[in-house]
Amino acid sequence: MLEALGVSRRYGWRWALKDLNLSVSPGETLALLGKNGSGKTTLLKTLAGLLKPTEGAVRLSGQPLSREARGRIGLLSHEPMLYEGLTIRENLEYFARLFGVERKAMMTRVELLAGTLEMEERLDEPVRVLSQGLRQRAAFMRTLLHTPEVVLLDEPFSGLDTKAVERLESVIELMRDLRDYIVVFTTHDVAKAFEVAERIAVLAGGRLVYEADVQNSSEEDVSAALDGYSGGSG
Amino acid sequence: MRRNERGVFGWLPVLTLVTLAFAIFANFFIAGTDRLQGPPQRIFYIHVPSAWVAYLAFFLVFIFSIKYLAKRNPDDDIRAHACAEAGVVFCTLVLITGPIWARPVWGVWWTWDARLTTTLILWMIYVGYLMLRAYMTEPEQRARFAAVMGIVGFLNVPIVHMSVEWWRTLHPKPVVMRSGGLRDLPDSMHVALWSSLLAFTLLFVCFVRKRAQIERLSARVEEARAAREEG
Amino acid sequence: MRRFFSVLLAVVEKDLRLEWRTKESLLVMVVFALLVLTLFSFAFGPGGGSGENARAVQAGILWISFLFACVIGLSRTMGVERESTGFSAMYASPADPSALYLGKVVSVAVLMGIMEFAGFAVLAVLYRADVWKSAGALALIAASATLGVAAAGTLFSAMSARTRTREVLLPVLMFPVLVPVLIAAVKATEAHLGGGGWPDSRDWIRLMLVYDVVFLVAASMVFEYILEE
Repeated sequence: MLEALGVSRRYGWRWALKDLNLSVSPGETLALLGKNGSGKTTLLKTLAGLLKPTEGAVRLSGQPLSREARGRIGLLSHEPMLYEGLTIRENLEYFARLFGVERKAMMTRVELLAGTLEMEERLDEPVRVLSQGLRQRAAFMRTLLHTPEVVLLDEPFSGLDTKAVERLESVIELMRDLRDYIVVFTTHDVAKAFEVAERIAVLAGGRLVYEADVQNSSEEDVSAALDGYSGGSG
Repeated sequence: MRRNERGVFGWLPVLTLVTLAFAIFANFFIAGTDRLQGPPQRIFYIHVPSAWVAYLAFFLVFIFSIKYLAKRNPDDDIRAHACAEAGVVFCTLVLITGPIWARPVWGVWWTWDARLTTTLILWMIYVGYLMLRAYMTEPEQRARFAAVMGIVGFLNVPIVHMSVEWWRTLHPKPVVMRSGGLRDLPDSMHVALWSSLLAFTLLFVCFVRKRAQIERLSARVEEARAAREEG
Repeated sequence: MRRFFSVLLAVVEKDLRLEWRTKESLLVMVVFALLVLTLFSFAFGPGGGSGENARAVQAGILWISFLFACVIGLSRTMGVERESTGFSAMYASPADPSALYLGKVVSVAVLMGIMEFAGFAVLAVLYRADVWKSAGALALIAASATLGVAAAGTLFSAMSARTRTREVLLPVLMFPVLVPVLIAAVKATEAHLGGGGWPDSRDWIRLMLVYDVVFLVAASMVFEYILEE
């Protein structure tokens, strides 16, 4: 269980997140929707332990997010977090060592991920020469390299063509079925959220303004929640 | 300022003013003129207390920096910042009064004396600290980085002092006339020195409190402005 | 403990591999150091002047040029981390921040070591300094000084890389803190270039080692707060 308990986070002088409560259970996929600047990315980074909440706390299986706990989380952020001068394989080897993945386990893992994402032939190309879509897939491999229990994806579908999106979706679904993964991803695309996620949450002005299971919700409701919030009294 | 906030600290500026006035009086009318150095020696009562306050300030920056990293209370960051600023002011005072004193007594503006040189390097370190703060915008990150600088900078003080002292002793030393140890001072000079030390320390506390207060207010203004822009 | 060294080595390997591919930092460091060494020769006259003071001037020139070159190299290596958000990636991992820091220090020190090798060679040729006579002592001095410079440089460049002005701030933060190392390195080098030898350099080397230990320990402890986003 991944929980945000009364999380507030100040960024500069404004509050990017304000008193936010959220919990995701194992096996569940949550889609975070919100306009630009609504705090989606900040929330994701806070859940990953990359940002410390100014107030409140994030807990993973009841424990505060320690350094060791960060090893159970995989984050795909806007930033590539890959070294341009290294090949994909070298990048992955480096991160595997930071995450303490054994060499053998890492090799099989890389083969598996490369197979699923159709990246086998690209592994030895430097990141520098890769297209946006290939980089996104390489970053995705980095995210899943250490078999995290919690997978946090920031706009995973942006910059990809339709085929790549389908592939990514199938990977996300696969992960969810294989093990009790917790998946949280942000997106602009309401339809996509309904397609992939089981639960939808809408952020506006750093607050949670809407939360519902997919079955009990409709795209109209979510769109209304997205538009309805004008940022006034909160 | 609201009236009811005047506790013990409320009267501090008044107390400081009184002590400062007495210290200046003691400097010029109670303390006798130094036999060897003459009137220029009187700058001693400004030079030494400034140095004491500067070192105290940088020590407090160190303490508040550690406290900030441990507790993440923004107020500790504000206090560290205020102490650093006041410290740099008093450190500058040391570096100005030093040469003014040195010129008539030793015949040169600057000697690479170990204490003076250490103070100069210290001044540079903490000017760097203030510049680091000035060049950062994200308050939370700025607080963390500044705290790291405040800790590392202070840990350096003894090593800097040691290295500069060795550096000087391995060279022919300029003839430095020291006015004996503290014990050799006549009582009248003691009065001037200690009252001045007290006055400068109180002044420092006033500065830091005022500076921290201003910083807190400006943080509130920034926050309110950010909130208004959003809403 | 094995994890610690595995992380440390991973960082060193990654840095040196990146450097090997581009040779950006090293090239610029060596060229810059040589440039400064030559420029000082114009400023002080050939060979750093004449007479007794020449050795002292040479030692000073040498270490000033190393320090300046180091600033340039550091901005490059840290620039790479900034562009690839390497620090955030490090922070997101369960790796010990002190291992990450020490890894960075080692790779910076290796680059500096290569640059210093070239610097000493140029010193021997341009300034007719007898470097070989006391090569061992000079290597020890260079190693202890380099460790100190790399320790401070890594910490401060990781900070300044994340400020608005980036490189501009690095020397302002780094140089005052490195004064003890500069004094000690110059004095010890002078002792061995001239006739002084070990009796004159021993205490300085000790001072540098104390500095290295204090700085490495303190910086390892606080590096975590620099990585945090």
